Amino acid sequence: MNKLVVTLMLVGFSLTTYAQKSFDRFEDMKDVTAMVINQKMFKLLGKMDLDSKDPEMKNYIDMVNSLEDIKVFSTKSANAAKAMKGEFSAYKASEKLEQLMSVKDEGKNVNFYYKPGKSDDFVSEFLMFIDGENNDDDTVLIKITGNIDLREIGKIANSINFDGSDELKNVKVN
Amino acid sequence: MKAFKFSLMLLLIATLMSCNNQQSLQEYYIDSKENEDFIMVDLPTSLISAKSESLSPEQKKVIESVKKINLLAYSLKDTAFYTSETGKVKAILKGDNYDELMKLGSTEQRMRIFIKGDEDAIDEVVVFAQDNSKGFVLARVLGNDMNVADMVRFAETMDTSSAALNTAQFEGIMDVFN
Repeated sequence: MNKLVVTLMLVGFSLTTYAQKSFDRFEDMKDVTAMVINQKMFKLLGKMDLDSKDPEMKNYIDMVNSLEDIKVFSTKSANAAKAMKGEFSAYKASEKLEQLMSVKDEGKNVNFYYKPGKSDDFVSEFLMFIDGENNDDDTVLIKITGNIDLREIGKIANSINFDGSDELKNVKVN
Repeated sequence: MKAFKFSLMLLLIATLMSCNNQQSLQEYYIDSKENEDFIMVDLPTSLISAKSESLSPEQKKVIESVKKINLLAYSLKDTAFYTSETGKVKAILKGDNYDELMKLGSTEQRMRIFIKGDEDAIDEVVVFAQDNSKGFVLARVLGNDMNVADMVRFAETMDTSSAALNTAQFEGIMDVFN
């Protein structure tokens, strides 16, 4: 009986300590610049211009409301880049991500992946990885979660300005 | 079975205790008030509304939803103190029902924004900015059902009516980052 209790408690503790999500450790890693935007922020943004009757604006609000979070990590450090690449590969395999496309742009390898959502155009996760390991460029990892319309990815890139957002504009669907 | 009940009790007590030990941000402000290393500015909004004749009824409503603006700044002198204080603030912001809106930066320089309350009726906005070589600023806007959409509209009209607002108090704070 005692053993059972101890085991149960150990399981409980280990669950709480290992409940950290993928990539979270990069938020506090040395030499990594991180940007994280959470769902609350999108809800706020969506409420800001609700009176707007402009259809373009309405589209934009719909898109913002469908997002859960955006995480952007970028680094120039070789060690951090290596860790990022490793974690990305592991995540890709464990979450069964599908490759959307891969672009070689000015010597940079840019890879786009997604996790299928409710239909062909909508995905539940969208990831971009720029491998800067072999040149002087930043290694960049972008992860967007939500109910994402692939056709609107370019718009997200337009509204937020960060390292690698230019690459997002190149995403084309059929 | 007895052992099971006992461990359950222990767990319960442990969780209760961890709740009680949690310092609130308000308490942190009060504790830090005594410390001369901090620069502290308390800005009750009554100060702003003193010249409120020049403001429209909508602008008045926005100002009235804001009760107080608190600023706390530390200009880096002692790294160990800086580390322990930022650690305290982080722990408070992690618990105590704050929702993180976003964070930006690296381990060296970082800004984080939090809110408390619903998206369209915010009770508290906290901005926490730190720079490992300069210090940190903790800004807190306290209010009652603050609405961000209204505030943005208000901020847009700020330029024209800024003469009515006394911003001189902020200048001392900004010096920290110069």
